[in-house]
Amino acid sequence: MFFIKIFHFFVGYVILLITGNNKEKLITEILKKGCKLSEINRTEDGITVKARLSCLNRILETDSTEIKVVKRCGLPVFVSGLKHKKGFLAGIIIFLLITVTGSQFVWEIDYDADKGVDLERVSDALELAGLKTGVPKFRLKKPEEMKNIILNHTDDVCWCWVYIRGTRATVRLRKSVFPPEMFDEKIPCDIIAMRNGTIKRVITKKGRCVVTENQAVTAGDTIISGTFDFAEAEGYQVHSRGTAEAYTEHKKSGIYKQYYCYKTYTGRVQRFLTLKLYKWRIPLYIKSRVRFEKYDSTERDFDAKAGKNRYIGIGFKVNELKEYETKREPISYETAVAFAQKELERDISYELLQPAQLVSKNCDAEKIDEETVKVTVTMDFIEEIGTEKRIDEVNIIEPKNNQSSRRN
Amino acid sequence: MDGLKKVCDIFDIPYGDVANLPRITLLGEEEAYIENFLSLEDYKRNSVKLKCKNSVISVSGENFCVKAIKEGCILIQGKINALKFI
Repeated sequence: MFFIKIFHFFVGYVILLITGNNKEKLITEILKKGCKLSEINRTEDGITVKARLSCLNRILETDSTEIKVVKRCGLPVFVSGLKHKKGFLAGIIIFLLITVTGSQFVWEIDYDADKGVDLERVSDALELAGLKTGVPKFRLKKPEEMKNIILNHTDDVCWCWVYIRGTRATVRLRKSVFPPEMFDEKIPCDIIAMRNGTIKRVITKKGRCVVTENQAVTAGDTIISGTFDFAEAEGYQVHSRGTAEAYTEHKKSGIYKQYYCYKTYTGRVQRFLTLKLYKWRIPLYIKSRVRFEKYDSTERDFDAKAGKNRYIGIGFKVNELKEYETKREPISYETAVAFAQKELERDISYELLQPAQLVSKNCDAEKIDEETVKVTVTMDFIEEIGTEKRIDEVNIIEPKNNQSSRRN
Repeated sequence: MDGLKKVCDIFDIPYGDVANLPRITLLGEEEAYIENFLSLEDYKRNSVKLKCKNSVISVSGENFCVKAIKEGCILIQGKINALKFI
């Protein structure tokens, strides 16, 4: 019955009321004219009948006095009604034209990239490739060509692709992972210290070791030299190889409070609505003043799409501000020190050279006032501090943190 | 009629289609599909009368609604209590 109803809607139908004394005879005469009737019901006024719109003239020829048209329904009726509403029809046509025309352009470019990729350079490369906001889609190059242009104009991208979904272009990028610099064996180089430390052990495979055990070295000092001075051949140079283990000290300190801060949301929310119309952003608010002192901000996009992912260029952006209050919960001195120690040890771990072996650690805490504690963590490691350096280079590695020699 | 029936028996021809007899298909007591009727004689909420070639079919019951009708076929829905040949 559902599909029959859909069919009737597209074809158009009328509901007739048959009155008088010879209703059944009238129905039989209508049937003889080749009309099909349905939904015949007896009511107080007479018999209601549903017939196709195309049969209406033939039915009214039978007897127009006892047959009344109660209702006309269906798509043909709606379309004929639009003939009298030219403005409405023109509006629909203009809207459809704008939507269809607008969806032939690229209005948004999204980036899906690894951390550390230089998006400005990628954006410049995309402009060279012909992709920018407002460009017609038929003028775009093939994704393969755009990919090649991006890769040729960037250094840190190893793979990229451009997806066009509706009016949104999504650029996916993957960062290159570079292997450590390896010198050619023919290039003479020294092994120098990357940071300050006290030499524990040096294994020299090639070159000349110029330091001794327990000697203090600073960053940039030569540990294994690639230069040999012979009486017969002065300044003979080789590519040094070897490892240098040293005791290094890492120290970090910080000031911490003896309370724990956390947020509780008050429930008050302020929203700012912006209409996205192709390349224009139209704010739909009058006052942009924020009523709250402390708040969290989230942005959400509601995009009009044709299909699953095809953005048509029209949508809304909602910037929601949620007010919160900061509350404090006091914590004990021991808890604060333990938390601080954990955090400082984590910071130290970021600057270690691999492999690193922990020798000892120490944590000192000093109470500054009722709520404030200063914590200092000192950790000693054995690290491999040697790195290759070309003999003709002048640059010296700067120390990364404030460190001192462990033993003199 | 008897002669026509004998001919149909001999040649194995379906007698009902040749003789234009009314064909009634009942779906429980809720629906009746009647073919080969000539005209609608009477239609009320609790009875429908159809004129056929040699008889009048009277369908009685409750809450009758003619779902569809065209020349020669009618579909009646409602609670059918009795079906008579008058």
